[in-house]
Amino acid sequence: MIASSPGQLTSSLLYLDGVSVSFDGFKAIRGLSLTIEPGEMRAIIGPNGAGKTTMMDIITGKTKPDVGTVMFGGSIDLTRLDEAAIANLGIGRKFQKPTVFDFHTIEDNILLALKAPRTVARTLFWKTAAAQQKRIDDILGIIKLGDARERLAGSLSHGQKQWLEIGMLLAQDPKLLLVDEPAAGMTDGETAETAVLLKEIARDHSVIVVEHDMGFIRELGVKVTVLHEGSVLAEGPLDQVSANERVVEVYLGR
Amino acid sequence: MGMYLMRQIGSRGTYGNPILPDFMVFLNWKELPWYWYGFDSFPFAMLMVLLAPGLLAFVFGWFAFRSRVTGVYLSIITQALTYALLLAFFRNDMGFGGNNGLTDFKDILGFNVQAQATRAALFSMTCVMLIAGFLIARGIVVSKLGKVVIAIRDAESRTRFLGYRVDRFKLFVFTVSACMAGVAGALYVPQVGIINPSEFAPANSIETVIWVAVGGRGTLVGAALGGVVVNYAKTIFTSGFMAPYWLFALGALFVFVTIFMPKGILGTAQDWWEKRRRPVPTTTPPEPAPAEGRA
Repeated sequence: MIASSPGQLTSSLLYLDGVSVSFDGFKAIRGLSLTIEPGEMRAIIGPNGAGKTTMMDIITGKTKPDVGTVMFGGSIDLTRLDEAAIANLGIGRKFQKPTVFDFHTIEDNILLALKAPRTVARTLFWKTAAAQQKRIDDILGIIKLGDARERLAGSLSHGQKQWLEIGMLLAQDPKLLLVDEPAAGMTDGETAETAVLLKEIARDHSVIVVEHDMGFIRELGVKVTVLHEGSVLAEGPLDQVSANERVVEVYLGR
Repeated sequence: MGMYLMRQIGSRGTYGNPILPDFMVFLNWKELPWYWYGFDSFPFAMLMVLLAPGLLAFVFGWFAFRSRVTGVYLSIITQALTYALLLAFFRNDMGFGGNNGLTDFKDILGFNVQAQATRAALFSMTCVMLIAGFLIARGIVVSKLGKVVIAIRDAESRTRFLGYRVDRFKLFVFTVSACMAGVAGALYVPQVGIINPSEFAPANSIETVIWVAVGGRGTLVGAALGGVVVNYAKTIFTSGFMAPYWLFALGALFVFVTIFMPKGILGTAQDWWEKRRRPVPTTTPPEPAPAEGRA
């Protein structure tokens, strides 16, 4: 494969090539290559320790890869930027464990995430404009928390926190959403509603979903990438991937 | 402020030197060190009251927050810094009077610092500054910036992934609080009449933490209330036969407040008031555990 030279424009929104990272000698990611097209929704599965969360850490700037290329929008090298810069480029992240601001109201959680200047001075003298208030109201409607806006986020149930966090991602209006196990700990009903919500979001955003729940991925109905020991084991539609002998071997043990 | 007051003594010092403060004459210094220049001017001294601590906090905070030093490590480093300053200022070579510090003040803006009227004016000024400080802090807390700062407190890495430069927000509040501390110090010196390096002692920072704990954590009024209550207790305690036991009393107060009044005076009073008005609480308080992203 030809190494991408600076300034080269790929049509992919996200482009990872030959990425490796190790922690104290343990290779969490080895030679990972992955591309996400604009508007694409991709599911990523893999057994524990396959490097799914580390991959998200690399994309969002929390972890720097030892070698490899990570390009966003064809020409921006993500390995040179920090978390805040990457977030402001338009990459949003939802954590595995729902992480909302417990001591803020639900509305304030959305306000903090809302796409707006993030500097000290601009937040000190911030006034929420009517259009921005409307956007907040819309998002509260989408995640079905409009009636609870004055409640503290800490008092929400686990499933509602997951939605609030997805709502915060929407408020950021990112080009790419990284969603780590959105259905973890949800009831079947909530899982189904979450799948609908994500499909709705995927209409005008690119989304990467990391998930263990096969039923949930089937409901999403998108291309699947299987990670194993830090690199891509298989890629394709879910039926094709789950028929792959290597994948079955990895998942069921050898 | 002490430097300004020293320069105001002029030739009335014991050695009668119009320029050099007494301790410098005593140490056989020939001329005023460069960093004492300008302190004979009140406006310049007032500017420095804000600028010197602000700048120190800015530089220190810049490095500490950029390196992502947080929590108890930050507390330890700030304590180490003030301890280092304490040792440095104790040296006579530093040019701030060594362990005697700066004292023997005569007047401020031409008024005798010991006169009743001057003291009343200084006390009123302190109240005005307390209100001003409260209003500034209040403005910050209710702004969106205040919300960001609370968000950083509860889930720092989440805030970072939302695109906020956490270090800059920390640096801002750290620097603002340093400037406020500078104003407090400038008001303290003429009213107490002496300033020496022992004020750098880490115990002082711990006492400030106790003020906040006693008054009520997470509130602005509580911090001021705690400051008044603890210092009033200090005045009573340290001026009688109980004087040797003041530090024990302070420690006991801290333990008592932590165990029996975790929300401080203000929080406890609020809870009591709420209970009287509305016997059944309807909202469940959120768990206080800070939620962080997975490592």
